[in-house]
Amino acid sequence: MSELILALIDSTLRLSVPIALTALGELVAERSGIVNIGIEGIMVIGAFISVVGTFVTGNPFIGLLMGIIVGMLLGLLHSVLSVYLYADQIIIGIGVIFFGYGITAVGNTIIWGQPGFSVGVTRVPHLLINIGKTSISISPNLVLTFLLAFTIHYILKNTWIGLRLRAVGENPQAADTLGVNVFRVRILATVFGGAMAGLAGAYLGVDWGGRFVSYMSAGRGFIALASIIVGGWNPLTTLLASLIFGFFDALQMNLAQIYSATMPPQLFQMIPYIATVVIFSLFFKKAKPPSAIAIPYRREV
Amino acid sequence: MRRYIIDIVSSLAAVIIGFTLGALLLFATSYDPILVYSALFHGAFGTTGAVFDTLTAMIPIIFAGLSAALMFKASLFFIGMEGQLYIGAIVAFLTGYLIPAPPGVHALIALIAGGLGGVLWGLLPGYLRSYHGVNETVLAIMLNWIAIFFSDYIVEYAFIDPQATIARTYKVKSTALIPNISLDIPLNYMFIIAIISCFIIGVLLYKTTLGYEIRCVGLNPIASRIADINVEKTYFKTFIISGFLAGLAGASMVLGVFGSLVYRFSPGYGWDGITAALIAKNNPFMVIPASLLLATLRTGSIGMMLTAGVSNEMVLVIQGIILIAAAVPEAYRIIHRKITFRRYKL
Repeated sequence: MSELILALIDSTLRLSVPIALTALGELVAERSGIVNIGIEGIMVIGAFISVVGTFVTGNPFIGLLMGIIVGMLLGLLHSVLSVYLYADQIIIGIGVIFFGYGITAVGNTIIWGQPGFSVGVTRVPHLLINIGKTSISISPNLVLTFLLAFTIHYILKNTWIGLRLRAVGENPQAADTLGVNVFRVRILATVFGGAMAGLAGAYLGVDWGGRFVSYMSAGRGFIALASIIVGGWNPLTTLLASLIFGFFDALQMNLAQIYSATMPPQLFQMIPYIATVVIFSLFFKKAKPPSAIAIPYRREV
Repeated sequence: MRRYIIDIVSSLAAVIIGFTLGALLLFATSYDPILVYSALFHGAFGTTGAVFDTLTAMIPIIFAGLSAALMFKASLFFIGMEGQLYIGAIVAFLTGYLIPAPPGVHALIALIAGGLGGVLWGLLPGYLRSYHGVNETVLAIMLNWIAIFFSDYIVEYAFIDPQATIARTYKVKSTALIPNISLDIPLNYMFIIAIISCFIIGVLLYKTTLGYEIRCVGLNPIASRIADINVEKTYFKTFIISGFLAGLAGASMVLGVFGSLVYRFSPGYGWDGITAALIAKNNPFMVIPASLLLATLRTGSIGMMLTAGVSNEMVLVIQGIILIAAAVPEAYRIIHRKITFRRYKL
């Protein structure tokens, strides 16, 4: 029994990391007033690029780095279009998701000559902590996730960077009047959000999975969005919400393994999504989103 | 009128940008774009059979497109058409398979049941969004996945036909099938119903009180409330009508094309509908040409894969670029302003 619980904790930690990383990055972007639902697409592209990078160089850390860079570029695209061209942020997001799902599937067929999944690549090394007969493996990305959650919380709350970011997201006009460059703050915040989503994707590719699979992100970008809302736009509670969503994903995998002979697996696969709907519907009310969220800022002329 | 022209021009520009950047990407990955696109076009219109395949693919895309157009008109970003389509298909299948009824009536009952299935799937997010302001986009994606896994369960476990060569359920009763228009035309009656629906939704949106309310609420919910429009109720009604249309998209595939529920039968018709609505700028009449474009991509992608060896997901890439290009109307306005400014100077 204790082995089962340990296995559950282990997989909860593993499966929370991509959700938490994406959620933390997107949280920063949303606090600045930009919504990027394209993080789902950035994740899948990040996963693909990281596997390609690792496949070519043999070093998974280069893969992670490439995931971050491609995430930054896509974040930059999103922010430039929404900040300077006042684009509809939701539509660009859907566009990036389509593009991401498509380009990675096409690229996978070109590079590995088979549709659906890539060959296995070297994975990021883990630190193993042995407890009894089983062990919990700690990924460097897991440590990074927790560190980032606390750092982002501190920066948002206690530094001038956080103050400016929040000002831009709550009342861009006032911030602009006081000399804060609204456009630049939003672009930097969204690029950061993209980088985190790219890293989360790379984590899926070269840390968790060890290979690329089409549609690998499987809605995790949207679960990250749910975590932000459930967490009330606060980094620490968002991390907690990601852990809860990660737990249901882990529960699904463990249950499906145990009962694979007697129960149809499709019923288990629904668990994390049903859990998200339930938790989301129960806990949405507490928080108020940033006032200027998804509204492009225009200087009156 | 001027607005319509600007809308059409900017949508056309987005489509052209989509295909051009797609061609560049193909070129960069050492494919011949002309060969690929001609394979795509040939796959969609090369033979009589292909033409009818494309028209058949238009049916679910039109329904999903109308569903999405209504949602977006009310400024609701509910993108759960894919899930509603699957639930509509499941309910239509169950009605067609389990319940006996006389021919003619049976198909109608199953079709309406399918539509109601879509409504059912939209009730929870509709209620939460309308009356409690819960984010509908996130709920939509979660419900999509639940619907797809549930249909997997129905197809692969609960109602699997062990004799079939592909993963599918038992066939529905022959009374529930929607017939083709005539023996020479392999196109079922749902095509006509889909086209008529565009006009019905068009009239609903532009000529009725409800349509007026939907458009008002979409433009400015606060002003609508002051004008004594019940905003919550309008949102909820939009969810119901839109859900019915998305459910019909799935039901028409089961009753008109496959005759059974096939494993993951939708290559993304719900998503195509969303793209169609956005290209059509949420105008129900413009959904028809936009659906034709997306159906062309869908049917042509198979020919493209077989002839030119490009993965059929390439059409998703083109769709993505089209959407990103369509999301920046300001860009076209700026270009327009630049051009007129230059003319003025001369």
